[in-house]
Amino acid sequence: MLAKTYSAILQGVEGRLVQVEVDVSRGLPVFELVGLPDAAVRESRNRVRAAIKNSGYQFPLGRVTVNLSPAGLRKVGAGLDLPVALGILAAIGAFSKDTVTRIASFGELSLDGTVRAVVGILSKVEALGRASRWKAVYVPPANLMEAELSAGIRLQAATSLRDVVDGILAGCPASPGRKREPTLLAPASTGNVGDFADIWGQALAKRAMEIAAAGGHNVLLIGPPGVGKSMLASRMPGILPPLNRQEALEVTRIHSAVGVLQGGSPVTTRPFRAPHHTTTPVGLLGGGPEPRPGEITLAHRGVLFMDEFAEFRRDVIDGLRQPLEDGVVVLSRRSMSFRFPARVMLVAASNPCPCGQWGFADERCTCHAGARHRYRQRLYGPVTDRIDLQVRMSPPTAGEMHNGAVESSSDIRKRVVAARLRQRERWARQEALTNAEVPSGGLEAGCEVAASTVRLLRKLVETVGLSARGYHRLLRVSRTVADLDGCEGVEDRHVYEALHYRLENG
Amino acid sequence: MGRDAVDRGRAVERYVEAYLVRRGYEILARNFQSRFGEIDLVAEDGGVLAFIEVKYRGPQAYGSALESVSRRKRMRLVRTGRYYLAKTGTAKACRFDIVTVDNDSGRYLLRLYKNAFNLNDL
Repeated sequence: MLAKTYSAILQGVEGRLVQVEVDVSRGLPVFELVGLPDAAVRESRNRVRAAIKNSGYQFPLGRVTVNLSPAGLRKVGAGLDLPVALGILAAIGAFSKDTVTRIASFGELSLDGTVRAVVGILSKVEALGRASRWKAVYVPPANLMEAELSAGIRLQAATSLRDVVDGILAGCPASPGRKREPTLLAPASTGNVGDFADIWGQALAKRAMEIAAAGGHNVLLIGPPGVGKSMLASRMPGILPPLNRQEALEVTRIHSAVGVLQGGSPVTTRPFRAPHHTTTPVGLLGGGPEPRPGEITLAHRGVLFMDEFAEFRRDVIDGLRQPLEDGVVVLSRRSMSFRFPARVMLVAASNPCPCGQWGFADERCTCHAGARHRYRQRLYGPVTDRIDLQVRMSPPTAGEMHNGAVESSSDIRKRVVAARLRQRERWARQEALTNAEVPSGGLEAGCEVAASTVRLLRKLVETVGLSARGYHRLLRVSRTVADLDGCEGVEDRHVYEALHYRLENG
Repeated sequence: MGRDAVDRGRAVERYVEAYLVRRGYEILARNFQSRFGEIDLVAEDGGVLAFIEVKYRGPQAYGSALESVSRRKRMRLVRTGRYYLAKTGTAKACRFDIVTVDNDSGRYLLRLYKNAFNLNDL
């Protein structure tokens, strides 16, 4: 009395196929579950027993052994309840064992047999592989919309255990009343994050954000409290190009695996994550004994906003270095390593000193020189060194405050999208999408700098004392300014503008 | 436990046995003993082997009879049951039933709990 059925579990943010084997044999009554289950999986024994009984079936007497394979893979979460229940029912002959081996199912069971939603359904369904292998794939109704993003697999809504069993006995007909077309991702809007038109003044900072969005650069905003740093940062997703289908799927997979998906519907706007400055390296970068993605992965393809940048722990900031360069967080554990995507745009914001007034209203600054010095030291480290655009923001003047015509996010976004298109064509051979991603090696050759501008750059290296990295940063930002300008070559005026977005430190 | 109590226990077990036979149980053993403990009745019910624990509670008892089958008692039943299977070479699905007998002012009140616990509940 052996039955096999299938499901999948999450490993990090990726799905893995799991075979559920059930053996019911004679002997003393016991229900055993083996194959590295975590506490939630082990507790599924109690849920499954009650759900089977309350759905009107007899839980088998004798020895019930459930094996989850591959046995070396840790099974986490409650999503295996439904396949375990179906395996048991098949093993006692409620329906054909041959059918159940061609069925994959997902779902947590409540004690009355209702199927509850699981996390990471998209990645799990994708782990099932070839569609032709399956007679039916049952997913919880609340997960159906997300699961349908995985093209090509025929899905059925599993309302309750009873419902699924009836469906299997009836030969797995498609659930009625649902269209089987792949779900289209909703047209991207700027989201409900607010508009650039809401912000008074701050022309330089807004322009810096536009350049950052266009070239994929990281930004550092420095200014006194209340000047609009957070407002600007939170509006950044609205001027970034809309997520394409591929990106939307990546973000949806991650958010689903972590369980932060809003209402079970796919993510269509760029994420904006603003972790608090007390966050730990695990909170920001991901980790833990069963590694979970951190904030930087939740911000994948969107904006990671770190307000009060100088207040973050040193190890947190230093931990950003590698993901910012590689776009991925790699965590190694005893038996395997986990890769969490982390291609983000970093927007860091900080006060110039602990009280925030230094450099803007020096007479109001209450900080000791020593405190200011320590603050600056924390602010300017190896990570700020890698931030291409650095802007000082001053409080708006009375004139700027009610200055009528301001551009909306969607106007800015149009320019950003056009500039990105130029970059993608230019850097196709370097396999980079934006100026910020191009390795320094091929940068100079590919930037198409006008001959006279080359002379200007050389002069700047001498007079301003640019470091090699500073030079490359200037070049990148100039290139993005030229792209926004619609110019093939980088000209003097682009370099002059780019010079605005660097602070004295670099 | 005095002689009276033992006698009353045996009397109650016979009473329960008659009740189970009426319900279609086929009694295979009475007071089956192992070095781990004793099973009051072993019976077959519809192809399933049932190990039956009879629990008598006097009129002044506190709590239900079912609650008085402690974890330790359940362990004993399981071990003895395992011994029974080995000794008799039985290969059947098994379950543990509990019959509680409450003394309701002179009248016996029987309740049968089929499959009252399993090895996961130990």
